[in-house]
Amino acid sequence: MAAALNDFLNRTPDAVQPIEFPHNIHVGKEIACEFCHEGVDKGPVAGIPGLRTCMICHAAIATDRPLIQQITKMNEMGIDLAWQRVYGFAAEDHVKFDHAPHIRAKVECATCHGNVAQQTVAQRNVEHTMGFCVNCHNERGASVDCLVCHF
Amino acid sequence: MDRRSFIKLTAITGTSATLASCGNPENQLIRFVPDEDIVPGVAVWKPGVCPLCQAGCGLTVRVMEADADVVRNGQAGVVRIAAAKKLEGARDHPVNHGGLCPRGQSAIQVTYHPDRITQPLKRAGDRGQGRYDAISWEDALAEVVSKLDALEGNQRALAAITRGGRSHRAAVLRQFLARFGAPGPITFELFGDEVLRRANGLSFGREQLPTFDLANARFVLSFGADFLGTWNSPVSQNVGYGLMRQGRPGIRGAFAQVESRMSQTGASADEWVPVRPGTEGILALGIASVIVAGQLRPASGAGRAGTLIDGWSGGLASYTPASVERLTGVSAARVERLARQFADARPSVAIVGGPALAHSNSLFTALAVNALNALVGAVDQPGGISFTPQLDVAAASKAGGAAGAPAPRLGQFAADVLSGATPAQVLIVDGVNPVFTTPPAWQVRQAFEKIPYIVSFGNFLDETSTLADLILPDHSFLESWSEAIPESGAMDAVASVAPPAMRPLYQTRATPDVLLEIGRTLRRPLDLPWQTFDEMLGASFAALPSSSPDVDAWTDAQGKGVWSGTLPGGLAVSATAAGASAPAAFAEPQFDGAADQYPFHFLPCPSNQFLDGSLAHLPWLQEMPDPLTSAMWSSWVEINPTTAEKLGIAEGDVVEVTSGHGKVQAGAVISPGLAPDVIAMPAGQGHRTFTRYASGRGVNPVDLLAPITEASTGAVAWAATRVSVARVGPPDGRLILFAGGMREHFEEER
Repeated sequence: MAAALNDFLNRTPDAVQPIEFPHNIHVGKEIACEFCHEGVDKGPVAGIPGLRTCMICHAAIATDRPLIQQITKMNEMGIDLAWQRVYGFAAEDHVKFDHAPHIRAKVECATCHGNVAQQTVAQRNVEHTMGFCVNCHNERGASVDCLVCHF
Repeated sequence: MDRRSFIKLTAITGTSATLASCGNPENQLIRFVPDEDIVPGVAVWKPGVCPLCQAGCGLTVRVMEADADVVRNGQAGVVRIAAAKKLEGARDHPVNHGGLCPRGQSAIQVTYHPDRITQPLKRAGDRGQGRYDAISWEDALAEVVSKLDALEGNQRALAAITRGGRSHRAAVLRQFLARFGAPGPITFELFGDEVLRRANGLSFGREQLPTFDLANARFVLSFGADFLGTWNSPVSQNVGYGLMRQGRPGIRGAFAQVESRMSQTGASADEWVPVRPGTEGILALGIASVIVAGQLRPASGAGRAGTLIDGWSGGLASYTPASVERLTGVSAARVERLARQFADARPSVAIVGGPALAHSNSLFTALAVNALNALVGAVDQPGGISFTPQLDVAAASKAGGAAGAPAPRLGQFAADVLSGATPAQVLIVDGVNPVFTTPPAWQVRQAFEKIPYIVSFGNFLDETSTLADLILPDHSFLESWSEAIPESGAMDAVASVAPPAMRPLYQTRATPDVLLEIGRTLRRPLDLPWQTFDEMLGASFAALPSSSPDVDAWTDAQGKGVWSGTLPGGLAVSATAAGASAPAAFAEPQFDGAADQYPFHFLPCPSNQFLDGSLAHLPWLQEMPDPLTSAMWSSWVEINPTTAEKLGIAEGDVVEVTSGHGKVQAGAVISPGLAPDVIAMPAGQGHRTFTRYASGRGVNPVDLLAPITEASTGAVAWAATRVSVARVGPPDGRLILFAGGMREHFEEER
């Protein structure tokens, strides 16, 4: 019944990540969000990067750290990191969200995803309720027609 | 559990099932590092070529990211791939103009079929048993090479059977066979058009299927050709038909269909003319005789095509409307009216194909319709009949002369193997299933069983490939270079080509590349100017003129998926010279079975879903209701209502159809679109072995066919068998109709 209650209250279990990825360090090095989440300005899905993306830098950088050595070894074995999604809409919400137009409208990443610079693994600390979306759409004069967001 | 209670149950348990899945179980699986860069959520559209029939329609393939289950280093997991997800017709393709038939739409299931062969297999059980062991590509190829090296000097020890049609793939196979001095590949299609090609060669010097400019026609008279459903280039013809009916303001082209069983095409006609089977040619000449007698056109206008008909210059005295009525069953007044309509509407065109050309006398029928077209000046004119110029693959790819001996006919080959006249040692099977599609009397299965070594390139285990000793699975068409040279459907020459739309899912290899590799490894290697199939395609397309000023023809064609234009001299297949041929006269069609014992003409027809059965493994097509009967997932027997009443047969009753060669049982569909003395059955079902969706489903009408052939081509006269019909029992659920709810009704009773 606890699961049913969580579902009713739109509470989903917290994502459990394969490694403690430090967003704070990466943002601190002034790496742009879209360097890793490269689909964000191209289409609907920002994308959670795989090891191929990590190894672009980490083939050469910080190769003495144990976690880096661990992921290097995984990459050699061809096994990717099984990241879990932190944000996202349930299928029954019938939401079609597209990142790219939000980037074009210069919405800051932090508006919807919180201050990632202070987190290690990403936490869901902004609730993507319909009210949250509609408020922002109203403030910015974006359309609030049902079909803009819903199937 | 039946379907209804299953749905009820899921309604109750569904909510909790959804909740239980919240913990992202997909993340429990191991994720592998992908091989390609993919932007998630963004679709890329790539060109493709539909492989399912000879029409060669162009595709647009939607490619997006997907998770694929894979095993790497013995470990199961998922990997992100760029996967083809949807097929559409290519918008600017000169054949299909953006359209795609339901079969083409279902082609995507070929790639993701759960019963696809995923790696080379070596036979472990008896032939036909379907038991195979996995084998590595290296071992498999070494085995083939050693078998082939042992044939050295024995020209007739190697044989190959493949699909018809002109293509680069066929050219590679031809080269491969020529290396051994073996005859060219045997081609066989049950519903092939050999007779029409032969007739067109005689009448017009073009031994190929015709293209019709339906868009500009005012009156179309079709003799049996299901040109909107399954025949020739259906999508191209549908596009033209739509324009003929509705594309010209104020003008609606008229259309009459002559046939003895109403096809999907017949159902669209303004006028349906039932005719006695095998007498379509008489009707065509009856119409011609009225046109000549009424001085609507001069008989001499038919030229060469006219001289091939006995009595043409004499005004076709033996084909007066009265005698036509006696022979065909079409009233003299109707013949007169059709003739005037055909001559008055300019331009008008006649089409012939399908069951009209499935008799022992069908060359006469085809020549008669050709003469009728020539008489009204429909040849090479707008609104008429023409021939798509054909690219000469051997010349374009600079493969050199590899003519080889002409291929034997399949029926003769099987007989020769059984008698020992052809000492075949190795047989290569590429993409055909002749064990399923040939009349049992040809004994193709028995002949193949006698051949010591069979290699199949098929993707699926079917009745023929289960006889193979070695299976070297081909890529799916989306995973490899695909190409086609459409024989018809466009005014200009067309060559379709497309690079792979996605990476191979399994341990398969492209057949042309496998042939080239085997050729290189032979003790006396096959020396060709290209190492891989795409090099061959590149050489061929580079020889063509580019339609764009910025890039060469090869680059341009890969981007668009097609090259179309005027062929430079030397690269076009030249017209055949006029063959000396005695004028043809009507001969009574030959039927198998005495009329008193077997009172009905048996008409197996190409299935709208499966054609000759090669597509029965695709579940979308199994689920697609037949447009006229709404039957799906099953076989059926079409019976005229009067006949059914006489025999005490009601809709859905199980009936047995018996010929001198076999018997089958299926559900009855009462259809008024059928002559009372005709029994029709769709082909395609009745597979013994062909994936989980087709195996053991329905019956195969080919099992009833007599081995009657058209003499000049050896083509099966598949409408020349007579049968008897008897009721066996009440409906038992084997016939599934979409309309009428028979499926649910029977499941509830069960």
